[in-house]
Amino acid sequence: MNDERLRQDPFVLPEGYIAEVEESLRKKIHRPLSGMSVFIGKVKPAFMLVLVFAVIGGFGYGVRKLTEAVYGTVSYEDGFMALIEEGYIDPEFIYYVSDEINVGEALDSSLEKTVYVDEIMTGDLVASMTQNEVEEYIVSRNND
Amino acid sequence: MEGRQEYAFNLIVRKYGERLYRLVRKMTSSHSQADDVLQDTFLKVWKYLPDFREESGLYTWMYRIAVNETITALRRERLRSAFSLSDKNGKAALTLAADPYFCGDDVQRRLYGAVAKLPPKQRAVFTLKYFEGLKYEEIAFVLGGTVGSLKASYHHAYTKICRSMEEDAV
Repeated sequence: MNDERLRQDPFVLPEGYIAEVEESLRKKIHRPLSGMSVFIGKVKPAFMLVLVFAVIGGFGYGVRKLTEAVYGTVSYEDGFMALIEEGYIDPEFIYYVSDEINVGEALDSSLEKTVYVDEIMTGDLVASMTQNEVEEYIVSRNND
Repeated sequence: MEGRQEYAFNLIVRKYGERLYRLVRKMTSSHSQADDVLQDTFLKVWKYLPDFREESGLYTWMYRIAVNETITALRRERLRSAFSLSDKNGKAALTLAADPYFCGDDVQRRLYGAVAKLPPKQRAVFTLKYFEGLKYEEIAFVLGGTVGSLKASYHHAYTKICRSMEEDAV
């Protein structure tokens, strides 16, 4: 492989080849475009754009179908109603949701519902307890 | 305007045609394939010549087009032959033996037969380094990629070729 002779070009250029190439290129450059080629050239970019949107739309449709298959069909018109029905939002919170959420009102509501407990009680309280259970616990403790 | 462009283009073909043909021929399997690639290269030159901004020299620019057109053509051929039942490895050597434009000796025939078995990009890296004598930085400019990856590619190609030539010699 280190023999310099191997690096020499063993190929011969056919006689008159470059002139043939020149002639062939001249014909190809001046070949008139067919009607179909022109049509395809104009339609292709628009078609590709439509295809891209179709693919994105198809993904969205597929994700939606998959979500419904996994979580079941949610027929609620109002997204907030759906969250309440599923138990993710306390129903009383709905009264504090309007077109624009008033942070002050939301905070007041939150503070009104806050139950203050002393350190002894925190050990008995469990995070999963509902508000009613907490209140009952406090009442029972106070009665002890 | 097109008259002047065509005149300039014809000059370019006459001046650089042979050099580009010899470059392409080293990487391709036959004269007819090299001819197709060369013409595709010049058609691209014709199309993009008005936009050529001389960031690199004209020949360097055409050189890059020629190498990349060759890789594209080789990949297309590889895909086509993947669905063919013929003996691909033996075909390259047989083609060269029957090529009237090949005037090399038996060792060169085995060498080019081995080169023809390489994957397209590796074939290009080997050709540019071994036959054309380009530095790795220059090859990176033509093909893209890092110097490190090109060195690795060349080393693998070199090893494969040596092994192939030994097998053919037996």
